[in-house]
Amino acid sequence: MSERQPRLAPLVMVDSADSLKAPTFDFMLLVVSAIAAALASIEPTTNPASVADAALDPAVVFAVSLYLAMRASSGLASLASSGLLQLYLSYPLGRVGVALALYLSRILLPVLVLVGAPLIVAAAIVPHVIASAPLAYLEAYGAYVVYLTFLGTLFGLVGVATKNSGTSAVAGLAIYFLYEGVYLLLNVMATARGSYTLHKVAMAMTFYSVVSLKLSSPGVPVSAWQLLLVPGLLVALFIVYLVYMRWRFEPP
Amino acid sequence: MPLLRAKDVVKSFARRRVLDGVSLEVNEAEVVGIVGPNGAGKTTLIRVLLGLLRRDSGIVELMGRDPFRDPRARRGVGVVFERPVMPSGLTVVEFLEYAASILGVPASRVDWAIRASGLEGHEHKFFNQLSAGLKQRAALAHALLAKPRLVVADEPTSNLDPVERVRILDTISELARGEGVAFLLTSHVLHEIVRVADRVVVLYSGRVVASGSIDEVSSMIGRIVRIRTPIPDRLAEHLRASSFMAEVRGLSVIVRLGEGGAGELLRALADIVDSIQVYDIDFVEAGLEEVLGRVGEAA
Repeated sequence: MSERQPRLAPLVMVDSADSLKAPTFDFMLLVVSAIAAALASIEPTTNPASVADAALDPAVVFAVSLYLAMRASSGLASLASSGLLQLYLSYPLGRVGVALALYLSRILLPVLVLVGAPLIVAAAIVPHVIASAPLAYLEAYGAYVVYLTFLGTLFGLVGVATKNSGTSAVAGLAIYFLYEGVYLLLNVMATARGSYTLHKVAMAMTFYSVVSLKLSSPGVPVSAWQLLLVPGLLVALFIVYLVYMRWRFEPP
Repeated sequence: MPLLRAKDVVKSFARRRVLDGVSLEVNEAEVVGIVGPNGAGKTTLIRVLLGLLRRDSGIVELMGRDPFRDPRARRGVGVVFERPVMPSGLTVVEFLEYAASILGVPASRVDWAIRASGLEGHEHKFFNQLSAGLKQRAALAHALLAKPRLVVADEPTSNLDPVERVRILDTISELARGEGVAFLLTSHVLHEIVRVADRVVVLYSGRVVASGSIDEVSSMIGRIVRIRTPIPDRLAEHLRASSFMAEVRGLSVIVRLGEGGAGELLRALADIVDSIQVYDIDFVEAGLEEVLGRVGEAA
């Protein structure tokens, strides 16, 4: 049999097999999220985006955020401290390729599964509502994925920078609650001052809220920057992650 | 062209120079041992040579390429790290099959690597279920998957019991002689390196303080004799008076033989055998401390 080029896809698979298992991956979170989505979807609505919101916001978003802060970040950190990352980097694959594979297996894939399962269950509960505008439902799903991937990327960056699972979990939680604190503060200030701009900034911080508003209330104006803030930050963080892994990361 | 060439490699961590102008080469089918005490910079050097760490300056060419910039340099290179690790969610054979797929080698290579490393019968266990020796064999099987021309092994015998150490070294020796695989090994135990290596590089405080063939290093150290006696201080004093280099270690006197060899020592002992009791005399394998001692004397 002839020799082939080294490949990244099996690395994604092998690391996914490691990351998508207990205790790294919390199947109870998946089951509870799906049940919560089923219960939350049993309410009269004709809008697919509202079904997605009912299924995910706030319980699933909160739970998945905490999961990412604690498990995804510490998963990447323990990958570094255990020596597995060093093993992966010893393959004849580029550092960017390895970083990309780990991003898929440790951040994107868990987000897709944890957000996807409740949405599939919700769609099964109210199929007629989803069938009326499936693309809008997918768009709402995508917004949650983008928001949670943004948080996951932030926590993942903390994980590879600290190289310590305990520190990264604590730092991830601290960053998450800081982000939520800023969101809350902006909302309070917006209400106190009657500032619509501050309210828009706060809403932009939770990207899925802006997308949901756009989908469910087409008459309400949504600014382009509101739609670009979190995706822009996600792209920026993703580039920082790749650059850090390419040039600065050294196995402990 | 050497499989691996390093020239004047310098690496610092937070202003502390860990590697200070290290140069070495590994040629086809050659076993090179890097020996040095803990903290000498062996692991850092291995990581720099593999391109896992950036170097501050110097040249590293692995298979003719710079491994930090070009991952293709690691094609045909197997790696055994000091602390072997594999994903805990897969059995060893499952992981090896994935690894073969990552490396782009046929799955049939997995069976060969398992046999060659002596892991047969344990490949269906999870990595964490293996003993330290079997973990090292699993890591060796992983390193052999790549059809390597060179295997880089960082302290492959550390954390192993003496029996398992010998077995691992024998396996390495068989692979080197039988398959023509070149090895770059590190250890802090000189006689382990001497057992398998063609050449030795002695690393101390980030510098290469001695290097050469096994014969060259052995002749540099000289032969070492240990004499056990109840009064080592008196014996050592007598031997020093007879121009021997004698050092007291516990209830033993360690003597480095000169050009006169063992006969000269026996003659010196014959003079005092009536006044100083001698329990035992044996030749011992030179340790790293003897090498470093000689280097210190030469300096």
